Amino acid sequence: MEKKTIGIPRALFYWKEPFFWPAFFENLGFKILLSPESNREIIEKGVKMADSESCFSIKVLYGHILWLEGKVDFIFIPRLKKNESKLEYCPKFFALPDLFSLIVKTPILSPWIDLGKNSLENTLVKFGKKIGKEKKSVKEAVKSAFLKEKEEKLKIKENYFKKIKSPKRKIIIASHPYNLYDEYVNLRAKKKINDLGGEAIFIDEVPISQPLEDLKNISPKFHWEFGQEMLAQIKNAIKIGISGAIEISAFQCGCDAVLKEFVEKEFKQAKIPFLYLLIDEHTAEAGLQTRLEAFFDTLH
Amino acid sequence: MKITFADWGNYTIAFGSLFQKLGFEFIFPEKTNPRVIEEGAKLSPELFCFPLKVNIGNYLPAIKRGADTIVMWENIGGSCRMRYYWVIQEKVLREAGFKVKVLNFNSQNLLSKIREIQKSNQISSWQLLGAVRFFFKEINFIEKLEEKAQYFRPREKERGQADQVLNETLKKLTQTTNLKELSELKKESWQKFSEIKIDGNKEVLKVGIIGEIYTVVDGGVNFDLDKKLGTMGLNVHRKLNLTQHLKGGFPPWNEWLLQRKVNSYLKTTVGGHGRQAIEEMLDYSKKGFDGVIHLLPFGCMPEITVRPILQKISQEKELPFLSISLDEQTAEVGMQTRLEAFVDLMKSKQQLTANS
Amino acid sequence: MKTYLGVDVGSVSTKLALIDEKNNALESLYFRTEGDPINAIQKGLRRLKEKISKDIKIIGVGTTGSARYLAGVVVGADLVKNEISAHAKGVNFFVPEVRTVIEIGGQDSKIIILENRVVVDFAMNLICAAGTGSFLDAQAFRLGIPVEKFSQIALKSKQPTIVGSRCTVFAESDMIHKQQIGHSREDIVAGLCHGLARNFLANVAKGKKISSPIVFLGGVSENLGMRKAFENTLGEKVIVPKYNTVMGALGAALLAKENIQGKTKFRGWEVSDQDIKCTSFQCKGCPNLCEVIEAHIDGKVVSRWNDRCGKYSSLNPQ
Repeated sequence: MEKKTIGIPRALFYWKEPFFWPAFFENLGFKILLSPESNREIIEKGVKMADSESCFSIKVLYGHILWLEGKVDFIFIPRLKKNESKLEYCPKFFALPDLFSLIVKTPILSPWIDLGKNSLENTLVKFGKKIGKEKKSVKEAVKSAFLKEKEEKLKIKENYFKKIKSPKRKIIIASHPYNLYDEYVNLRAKKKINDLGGEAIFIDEVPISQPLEDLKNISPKFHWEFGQEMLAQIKNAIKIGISGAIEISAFQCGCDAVLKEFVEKEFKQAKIPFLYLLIDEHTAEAGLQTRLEAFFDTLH
Repeated sequence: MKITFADWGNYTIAFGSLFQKLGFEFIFPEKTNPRVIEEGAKLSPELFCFPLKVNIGNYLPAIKRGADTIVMWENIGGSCRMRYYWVIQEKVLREAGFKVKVLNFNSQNLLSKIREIQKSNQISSWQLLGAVRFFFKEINFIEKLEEKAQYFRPREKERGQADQVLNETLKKLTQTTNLKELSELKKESWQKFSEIKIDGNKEVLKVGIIGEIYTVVDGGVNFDLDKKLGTMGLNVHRKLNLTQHLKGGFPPWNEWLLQRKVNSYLKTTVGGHGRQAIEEMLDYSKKGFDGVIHLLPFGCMPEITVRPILQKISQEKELPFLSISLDEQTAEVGMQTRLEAFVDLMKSKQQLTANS
Repeated sequence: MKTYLGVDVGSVSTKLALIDEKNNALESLYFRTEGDPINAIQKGLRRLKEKISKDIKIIGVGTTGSARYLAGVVVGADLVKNEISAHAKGVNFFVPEVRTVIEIGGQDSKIIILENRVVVDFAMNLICAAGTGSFLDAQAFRLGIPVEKFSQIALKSKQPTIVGSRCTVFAESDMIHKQQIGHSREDIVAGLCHGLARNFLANVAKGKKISSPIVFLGGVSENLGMRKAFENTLGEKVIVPKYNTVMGALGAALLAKENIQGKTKFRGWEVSDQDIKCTSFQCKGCPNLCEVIEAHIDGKVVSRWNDRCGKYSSLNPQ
């Protein structure tokens, strides 16, 4: 029997666990088609189709899913609700399967992920039943996908310790993974910073050694899975001695409108130069370059 | 301690009397008007949602009149940004140099905070109960008044009478302090409404207003949508109001019932009143309404999430649909043009169905 | 001869049109409002009178456009109609088979969807000027090219460059950069047209069912570069019909003709020589603090508006 293909959009939720999902489905015997890296055509498709007031990140996701439409047997769009600590994902994640079922004909695979109620393993075993996979094989697939994810994360960690020893000026980039790792979306901000003689460090590379201890003193108590963690990571990053900080927000990101107030405050209190960048389909490389160069001139 | 609260349409009257009856000195917030919006937007984070900016604008004159404490509800159950209003508002006002405190109430601290208030303001449980009861009666009365005006505006023979009764009654309501006065005022205003001469045979189009509760309810932010549509000859309906909102969780199966009604379109909450918008739209379609207007603050997370679903329903049910996003840059002229065109659209659709 | 007058006063341009009893368009005018709608209306009437023969009599007036109420007061209108319905009316008459109307004016842009000659959906830009003629004006100014020349320059381009078009401010820095790295003027101008078309389709026309025949109206439709940009982006033919810039005024005239009852309220040609002024005052009757506007003709108050409660506007003659 020919293997069925699952399409995974290389956008939004994908970047939260970029290694886990492809590994999981491959282990279960599916072929994976990952949409290509964001490009102009994909973004334009997304911008055309998504609600004009939705955030740029959602528009990018629309583009990737439309790219997959017609090319695969299933499209994977999980319904992400809460993480293990019962903290919520952005509410725009909740309704994604419903919204895309309005516009694509390809069947959508959408496990309901509320890790506050059900462990990921149990969730996926239940989900596996729906797609005709046995409990045992699902459990094994989860296990080895976890290992894969762990392995890759370890590499990031090692890389981080190398980076912080660098004599170059270390610049923290604070943002969501789907902005940090999508180079078309962030207009290659990392490369631009490194070319200017800096060492760019993504906020999600910064470890939190003792999550409970580190998160305890963070105020306000965010109900989002990224809020407290990011603020704790910022506190830790400040300790290693950074020269500057940049926050990247997608235009119309509602969560960032809240978060920015506190991210900025942390850096300003530590007297670290701070640059706020708003990105969307209209952001021009030239403008970004100019602002980064000017920002570097303010660093000491 | 002199407290103030966000202005929220006619409900402000009821909030005012609640806080006064709880023994506070209450400074009324400035009513929302274009200048309030402008001043609020100047201080607030640009990317935050519109109601927060208006709130700030409402507080400023109240602070100048002596208010030092702002009461804010922290919606810890919800998924929308309203739960951060109190933190951000305190931050914004402090950074602007105002020495104010935000008193945040939420479902967890409500009882203990009320006990604190009882102690410091020397309010007996009896008085507390009385204040709450009066508050709910006032809210109920305000909602009924608005409904009456919605009915009479398109039908009255002499234009402006319904609004005159409405405004006079609201003015008297601010002076009303006990249940006896309230029930007299009720009687009086129902009598006045019944005296308005109406054109009983006139065919009146029905339009439902759905969307984000703050913008749906407050005429100050939605450019008096009720009245605009009413004088264009439409009967406006709003299912969403404060009473509905407070009832949402009681009894607990309401939540389950709501989900069941929208399940074929949306399988989860998205925060705010996203699901309610879908439920209301389906309901208006079933009841044969001529159109639905969707109001939201620009970029409102829950409403933006469900908007594609609402548009889909509009196509499926052939129900005219107009979505209007409001923020400090919205111009009344643009809104007026759109409403007029939408009314023309509904009228021509109705004529078409009548002819065929 | 008995005729009907349509007046469309927008923020950037003012349009007048005259039709006869058989719905023939007799005369039309298009000129800049220059920030003074009253003066523009007076000027328009004066010019119109010069163009037509003495035996023409106006027996009905319709006004439209963002200044339609003011225009209605000044001219004495029998009907005041929003510009969406007015354009739909006009285009329905002159291009009966139309399904989609794209109208781009100075500060407004709109899309109207029709089925069986009835408007079934529409949208209009709310706050942003990026999807409108002002955007092109601003960029033309920066490039030092008169906007009328945009057409011929844009059409020369073989490879339109991509110019960010969210707002005039962002576009400026992007455009300057494009110039500096050596893109040709033709490609930049064509790029601006494409940017405007894309922006319009992504924001104003979002989710609307665009089907042929597509008609393109408004001041910006004079620009052939824009028409080509829409055709490229949509992959469909775009029609720019006769009367493309005065369709709203024609629609208002047609509507006035259909709806008039009794004698016209037209104040007569002498309006153009009268002293017409608008003043405003703040009503302190309630915390709304409305800015009430008063129109005076030869020193007499003829109308008041902009009050929320109706205290002043209810005094207006009906």
